[in-house]
Amino acid sequence: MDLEKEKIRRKIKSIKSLPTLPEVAQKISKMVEDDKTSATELGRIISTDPAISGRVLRLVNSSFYGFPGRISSISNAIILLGFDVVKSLIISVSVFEMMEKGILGLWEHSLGCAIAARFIAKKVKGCDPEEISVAGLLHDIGKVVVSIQLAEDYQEIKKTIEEKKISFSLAEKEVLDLTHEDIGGWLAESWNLPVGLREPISCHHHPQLAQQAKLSTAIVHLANFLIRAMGHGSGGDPWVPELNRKAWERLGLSMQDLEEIITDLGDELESMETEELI
Amino acid sequence: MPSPGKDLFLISKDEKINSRITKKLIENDYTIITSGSVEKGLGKVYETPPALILLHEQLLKGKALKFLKSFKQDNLFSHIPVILIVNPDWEKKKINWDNYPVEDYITETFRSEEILNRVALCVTRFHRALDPNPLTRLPGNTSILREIQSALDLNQKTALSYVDVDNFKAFNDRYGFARGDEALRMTARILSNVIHGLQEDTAFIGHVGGDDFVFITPLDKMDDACKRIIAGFDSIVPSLYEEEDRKKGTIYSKDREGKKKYFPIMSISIAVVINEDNRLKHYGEVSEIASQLKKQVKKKNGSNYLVDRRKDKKKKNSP
Repeated sequence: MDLEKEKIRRKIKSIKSLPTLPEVAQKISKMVEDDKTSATELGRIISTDPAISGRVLRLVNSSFYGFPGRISSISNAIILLGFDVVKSLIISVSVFEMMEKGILGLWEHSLGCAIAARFIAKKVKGCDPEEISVAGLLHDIGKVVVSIQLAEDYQEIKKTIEEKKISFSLAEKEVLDLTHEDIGGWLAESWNLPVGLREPISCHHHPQLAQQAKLSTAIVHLANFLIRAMGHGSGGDPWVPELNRKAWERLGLSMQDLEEIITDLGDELESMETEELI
Repeated sequence: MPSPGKDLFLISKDEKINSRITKKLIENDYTIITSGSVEKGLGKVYETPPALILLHEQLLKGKALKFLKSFKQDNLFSHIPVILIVNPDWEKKKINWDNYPVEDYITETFRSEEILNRVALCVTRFHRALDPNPLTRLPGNTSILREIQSALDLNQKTALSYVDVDNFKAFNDRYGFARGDEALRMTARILSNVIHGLQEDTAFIGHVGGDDFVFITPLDKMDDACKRIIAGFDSIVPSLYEEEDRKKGTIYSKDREGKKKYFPIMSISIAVVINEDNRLKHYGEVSEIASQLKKQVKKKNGSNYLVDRRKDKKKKNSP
């Protein structure tokens, strides 16, 4: 690995947590302060935020607790860490200092992808919808890292996308010779996240590269495609990513299944908007 | 067993220091045995272990230090705290604490309130963490015994629950010790969060060893605690298995006789002994009832808890 990449990799290894949106942080902190909030409610709200989910999963999978790389669901993480530990984590979450439009779009995209992944998982045999929905939530975590840790490069990437009319991944390749898949994968590795989360993060545009979590990666790949095609949120570029035929075939879904998923997903996104979750 | 808290041992030849310490502490109901040499002093300590040892640093030369080190390495005595009494000049040196197996120190110029509180705090601190299990850091057998006995002595409505992981041995044999340890740490964490989450002062959780745990709760919190432990365990335990085994829901491993067969995913069994109306007097009675009850609850498939209310002979199963 060349020097520049090694430098970025080292930088990523030192990341302990990522910031979230100020509105989300405020809303969640309020819930935490309310004594009546149950563990289930807390889990549900954490599951809507990539930054806090990442933080909770990083801690429960750290070697300190003694079962690294095993926990991929938020509800199980709360059982193991304990209500009070999770509350303190949430209270100490940091927020984006400089908010730009792209970040809000990415947040919506991530949450949408989590929901889409859950609906798909429910139609596919032999998978755990909760784990896959977390994988969907975290799949673009590399983009958050790029926007914060490599802020200058991020501006350069955005410029390249506009000027050359290419995808986010291609622009990343040009500027960094790396993509958010590589970067997210490094972060997932340094946080000891289970392979069921790691591979969907590091291979969601290249599901054929997944070694162990093939099914989860294929589901997140499809979820990412669907949510972009439906125009919900933003992935940083105006294009819908390519759908991998093999990944689609692996899931064994019928056209009717797909239609049902799209209908359910549309309804869910609509009801979320009226609820003003954001 | 040393009587907790009040028996002290003082190793010092300095008459002035000795009389100051002894006077203040005896006024406060401590008993003190004194010795002028480390070697002889520790000999007595082995015979009648005190709650704490006060030791004058000036005696800690050559062989004496060796004696102290071997005393602190003995796992039966290492929990007895040692406070070093030092000259104020000694304190100014850069001290290599790895060479001094002591828990605290105090200078010869101590104020009498200071020695009193320092001793009390030191005893309390080591009483708190008497024998943590090295794997889970939960209190071990000495604490469990003490807590059960004091729960019985309190004479309140209490539930004493014995936890045991089903099919743990098969898991351990199939995946190895390191993975077995992961399973035990995870179990400990679930138990500890549920029990401490009750926010009851009298609630207690301890690790007997291996896949055996004990917890104590007020009687009216027991059902809720058992249900939450079972729900948490059943939700998390599949994540310990490889995907292939998890999907099948069984693993191929050895039983106690070494015969290969299929074992289900691990589950948890809880045998609950109830103490009400002061019917149980001694720790031994509790463990006897629990071991009979354990056999019954382990016969059932999956995670269960079984309650024994000896008084009315009524037995209740989990839903």
